[in-house]
Amino acid sequence: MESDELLNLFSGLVGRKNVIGDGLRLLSYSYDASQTRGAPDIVVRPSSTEEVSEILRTANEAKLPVTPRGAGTSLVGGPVPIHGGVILDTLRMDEIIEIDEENSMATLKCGVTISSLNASLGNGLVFPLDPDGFGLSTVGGILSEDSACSFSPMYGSARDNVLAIEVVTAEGKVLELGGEYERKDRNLVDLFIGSEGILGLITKAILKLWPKPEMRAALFVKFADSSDPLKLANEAERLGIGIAGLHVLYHDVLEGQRQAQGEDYVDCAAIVELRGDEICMKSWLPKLKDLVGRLEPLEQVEAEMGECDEIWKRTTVIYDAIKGQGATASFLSASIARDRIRDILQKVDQASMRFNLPTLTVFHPLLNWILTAFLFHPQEKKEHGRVKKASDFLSKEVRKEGGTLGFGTGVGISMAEHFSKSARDATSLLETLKGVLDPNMIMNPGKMILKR
Amino acid sequence: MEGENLTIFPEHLLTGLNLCIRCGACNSVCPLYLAGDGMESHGPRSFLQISKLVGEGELEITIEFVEYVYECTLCELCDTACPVGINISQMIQSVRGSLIDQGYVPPPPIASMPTRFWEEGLSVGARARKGAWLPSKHEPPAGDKIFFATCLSSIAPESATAALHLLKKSVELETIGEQELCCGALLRLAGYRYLAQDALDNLMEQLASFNPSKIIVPVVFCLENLRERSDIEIVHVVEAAFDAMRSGSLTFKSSKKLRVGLVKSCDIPTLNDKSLELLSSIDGLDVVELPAWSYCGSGCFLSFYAGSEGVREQFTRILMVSTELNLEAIVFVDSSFYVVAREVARESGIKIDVLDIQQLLLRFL
Repeated sequence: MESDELLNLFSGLVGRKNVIGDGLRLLSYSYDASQTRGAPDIVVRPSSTEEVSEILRTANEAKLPVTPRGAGTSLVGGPVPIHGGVILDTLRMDEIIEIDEENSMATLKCGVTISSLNASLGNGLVFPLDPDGFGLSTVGGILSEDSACSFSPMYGSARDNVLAIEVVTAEGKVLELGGEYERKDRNLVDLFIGSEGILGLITKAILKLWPKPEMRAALFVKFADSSDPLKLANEAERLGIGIAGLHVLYHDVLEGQRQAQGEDYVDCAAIVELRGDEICMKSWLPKLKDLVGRLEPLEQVEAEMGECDEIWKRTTVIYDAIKGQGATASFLSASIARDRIRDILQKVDQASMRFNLPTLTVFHPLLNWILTAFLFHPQEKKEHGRVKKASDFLSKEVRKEGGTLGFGTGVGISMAEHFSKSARDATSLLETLKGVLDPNMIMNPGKMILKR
Repeated sequence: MEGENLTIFPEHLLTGLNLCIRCGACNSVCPLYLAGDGMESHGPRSFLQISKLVGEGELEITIEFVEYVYECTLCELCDTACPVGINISQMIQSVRGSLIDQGYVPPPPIASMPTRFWEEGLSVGARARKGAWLPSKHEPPAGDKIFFATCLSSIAPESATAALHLLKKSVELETIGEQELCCGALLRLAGYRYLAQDALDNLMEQLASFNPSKIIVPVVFCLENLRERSDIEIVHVVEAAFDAMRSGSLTFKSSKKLRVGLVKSCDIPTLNDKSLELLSSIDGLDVVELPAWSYCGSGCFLSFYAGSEGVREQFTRILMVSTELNLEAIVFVDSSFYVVAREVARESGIKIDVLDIQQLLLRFL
């Protein structure tokens, strides 16, 4: 279709000023925080479910690929239109429809960002999942990718925080699934959560809200061996200590700072936070400290209440590391049995040496989750090939250990190939379902499953 | 060309562009991005990515790109938000400068600035109207404090007049009038770095002949430009009025009830605080602070002048929200923001009283 034709087609649905039909500004929608690229032929910015439905119906008739996009913070290419077509930008769907404090629920449209949701809540409630750490992500984005974050040990991933969704299918059909309480058809909500927009587009959701923690306590602990935080996770679970978050920075993240400050080698540094009431704290905190003490940490810093945020700020060392290397990052997210995490960390070191690429690795023992980034200089074309090889190598090792890819971040484009190898049956079932819900294969093609 | 590092940008600029991890933290604070309901192309991330494509030779330099680099208002909020420490506003200025150095012609209003500067001694407006804002028989008391009216005084004489009337009761002011030279701030923001330098040198020479102890400026971009070079105390009109109020030499009477909206500055927070305090000292004046997407960058006048779509959208939204809130007037902490709003109101036909702080305060003298 010619660009004029496209422009007229979609301007008729949402108004000319909510369509970007040509030129330089289309390129503004060709990236996210991954290394994948692809420019759309048109950007359409609806403000209602009805408009979304019309856009999808129109695109489906014309067999145009549709890529949903929120804030564009994906690490894996989720909102990158590699097959061109339509970008369906959800940011104008930013209405918070209702905050139900009594039942701790929020009903909102998909383009609401985590920060604006939290800003709209009263003192007592919070939506605790903030995958990018800046509150930038949209509700639609985190539900589609089933995002997780450092506090997911306590609050779960996005999947665990949604009660109901409204989804629009490729043919423009609007489905309302789930409800204001847990119910039997819950599994149908789950079908769309984490399916990365390939089965339909989530336009509305009822999210679960949480009470703000009465008390908080956090420890920052440096360990000589990265198996120590794994032991910590095991023991804490055994003792029933309710850890809200356990976030571990591997030595590759700490290296730059260590060298700059002339410190001794540290294998990893963990941040662990407890949340609860006074009774929980009285029981858990001494146990946790005792546990940490028995692991003989190299250094330990404690904080309470608001000061905990200062401790979490130490995770920004990852950005200093990126800056120090003068490089950009390509991400790989793996989930694996806890007793294999140590092995995979060693494979990260191996990949770094073998392909001569610095890495930055964060792992979450209670979530059995490792997120690693290969750093490279985009202007050095040779490094691109090495990043690909290193990612292939590491993905293969993860698969060998029985792990899968894409947890917490989504699979997107970056890990689609590896995902299909690590979850063959799931991939094939997804393909079948997609064939039913999206017969023309227009919804977010190229993501999660390779078939389009 | 293979293997050759073909680029129009200096090496340090390319290095900076390559540092971006596209996390989007910069967008989350960008008023133009937010005012456009998350319009990606108005945000800093898009600027870095598109400039990177140009720098790497993957994208040709088109008229559209040259126009695009003037979209941003250089408010600098993104610089503090960037987790990897990219000085984005400096990069944008550097891209503008590189394009100009290599002979690319900026949008017509910007491209005509050097000629205007050579012929008229101004970046914008006209020499003939430069002193027109002064009353015909105006003889300001000869103090050592100078009211530097700036090039904008020929475009918005009402703003300069209001500032002078407001301040002359409390401060012994000198004004240069028609002969006042241009400080080169707009030239600098536009990327005419060398011309801007010459302008500032000439102005400094002119100012030196007055041996001033203080210079009072109604425009943030001139204020920042002068502060960078001069060891003389440079203050904004709002700051001068604030000091006068504090010392008791400037008092306001509450004549009537008025409900106004206040639009703040991104880059000079003291201006916001002092504006609020000035306005809250007036009984009967009800001030509604507009949300963060309304905040203006010091370069918003230049961007508007260059044809920035984002700035136009932002100001249209400011005016529309003000009418929705049933405000009687919308007040800007800086005269340059006021001028943009006045133009957008005129073009769009949105009916609301648009003022800067000095014009509002004058109503309560």
